[in-house]
Amino acid sequence: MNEDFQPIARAARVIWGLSGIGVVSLFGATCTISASLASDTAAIAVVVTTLILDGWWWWISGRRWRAWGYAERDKDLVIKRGVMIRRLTIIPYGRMQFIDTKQGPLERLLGVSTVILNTAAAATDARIPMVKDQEAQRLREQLTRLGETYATGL
Amino acid sequence: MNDHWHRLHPLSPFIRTMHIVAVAVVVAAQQIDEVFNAPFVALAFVGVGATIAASYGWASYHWTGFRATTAQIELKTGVLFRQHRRIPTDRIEAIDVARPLTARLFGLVELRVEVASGAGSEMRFQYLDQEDATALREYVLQLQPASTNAVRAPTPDLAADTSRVMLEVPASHVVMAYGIGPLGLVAVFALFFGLIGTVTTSAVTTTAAITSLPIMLAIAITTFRTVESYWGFRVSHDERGMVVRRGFLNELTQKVPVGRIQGIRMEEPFLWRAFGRARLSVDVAGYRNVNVNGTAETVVLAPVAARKAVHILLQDLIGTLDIDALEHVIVPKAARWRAPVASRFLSIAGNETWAIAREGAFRRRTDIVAHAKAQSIRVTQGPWQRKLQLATLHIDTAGNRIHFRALHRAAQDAYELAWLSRKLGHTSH
Repeated sequence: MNEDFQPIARAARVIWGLSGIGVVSLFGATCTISASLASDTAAIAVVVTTLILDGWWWWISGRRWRAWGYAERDKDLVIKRGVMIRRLTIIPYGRMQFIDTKQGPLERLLGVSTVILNTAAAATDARIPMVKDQEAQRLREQLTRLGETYATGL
Repeated sequence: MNDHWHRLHPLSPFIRTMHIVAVAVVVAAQQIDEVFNAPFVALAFVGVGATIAASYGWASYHWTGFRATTAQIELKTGVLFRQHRRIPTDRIEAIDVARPLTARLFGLVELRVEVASGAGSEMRFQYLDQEDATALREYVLQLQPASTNAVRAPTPDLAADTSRVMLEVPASHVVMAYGIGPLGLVAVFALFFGLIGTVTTSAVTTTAAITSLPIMLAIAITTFRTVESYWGFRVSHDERGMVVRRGFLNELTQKVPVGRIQGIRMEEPFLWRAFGRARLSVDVAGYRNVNVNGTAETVVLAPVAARKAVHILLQDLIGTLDIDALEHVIVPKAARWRAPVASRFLSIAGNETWAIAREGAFRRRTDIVAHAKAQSIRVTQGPWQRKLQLATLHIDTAGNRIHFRALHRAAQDAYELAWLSRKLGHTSH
């Protein structure tokens, strides 16, 4: 495995990081209010814990972001991902049935989209999240073109 | 076949609603006293019922029709809820002939056109006479691309099958293989409750016996239906490929498009192995072969057969490759930590065309997949596997069930095999 993997956009870390941090912080804030009724020390402890959890989540998001990568080879696309469970997926261009791009509100704000590759196998589950819009556009067109070039029957 | 609309057989509406008519007759029979009390009212009821039934039948006959052109097949059905379905001919995966008991009484058959996509996408022609069925089937088959049908010979008469028989499974073998286990279980249950009943007659045991009754009944029914569906099982080989014929009450003829097979599975349950028996099934792309439980299943090529017979069938699918002669490589010792029992039964084998994975302690399963049929190749590695330097290799196919899975290989091997399989996949076609 000596491929040069393209990283996904840094926005991935921001989106994954902030969405987790948002939830943790909200929960932390509610707990802080309850704790402050008991004592100031408790409140401070809760705040510190929340901040540590936020930091930890930010670090995790960074690892998740860095774990993703894709490589366009001659006849296939290779995607790697995962921190806890590592996955490597090879998809021959000829097997791609159609390519979707998807974009949520946060993703639109940061100008990134998710490229979804569909094959005839249910287990394939191949997507490349958080690629810059321009790159997503290019990927979609390129993959569709290659898919038609190498198309094979079932 | 031409571009005209054709009708289904005029008796079709009657056959389709036969069970409703039967229920109506039974209900009427229970009211027999009332009939004698008020014969005119009863007569009026029968009259109204018959009129409704007749007009439904006529409407159904009149509005149901099909049309086959080179581009697509169309089928219009329904009286109240009209349905018009079109299937492009190039998406047709298979065309099967079924003969349910009710239709067989009138010498009619049902044609099923299977399409490469999800649930309920198939087209059912209920019902056609032999002649129409043969014509339509013939027409569809000759439209199929050359890759799926090497030679286009005329369809043999559906009733008289003149092709070369490759395997016949005696009913007694089916009963032994599928019947003895579950029915033995039921018998043991019955005996158990019977014995307890003789010793004590407490309410608890009675309740237990009564509540277990539906379960036993369900087991018995499932067993009966399984045995019924494999009754008279025969695989033959005609110019186009393999043809499976099976079923007692519901006779089914399946044509297996060998070129579309995605995976092959040989299963050897523990007890069968003692008798050298195996089961062989294949997964055909997009083909929804629905079993008695309604789940998508594989196409069975041998419900139970001697290993030798299975190997002869296999030769038709994978050539002269002898899977027993290949070296089956077991997993590294480290895998014992991840799966202490299962890892002892994991092995893989293969050559430049095929990848073969074997697993299962009690029910040994051998899955055979062509590198060239891979939709995607994946290597996954969970946290435990990473600690043990292991990884799992998957070769995903377009089949419903059968995929290649090599659990807990040495991590480096898994990655190397993935690249190798990919390379073999695109050089062989």
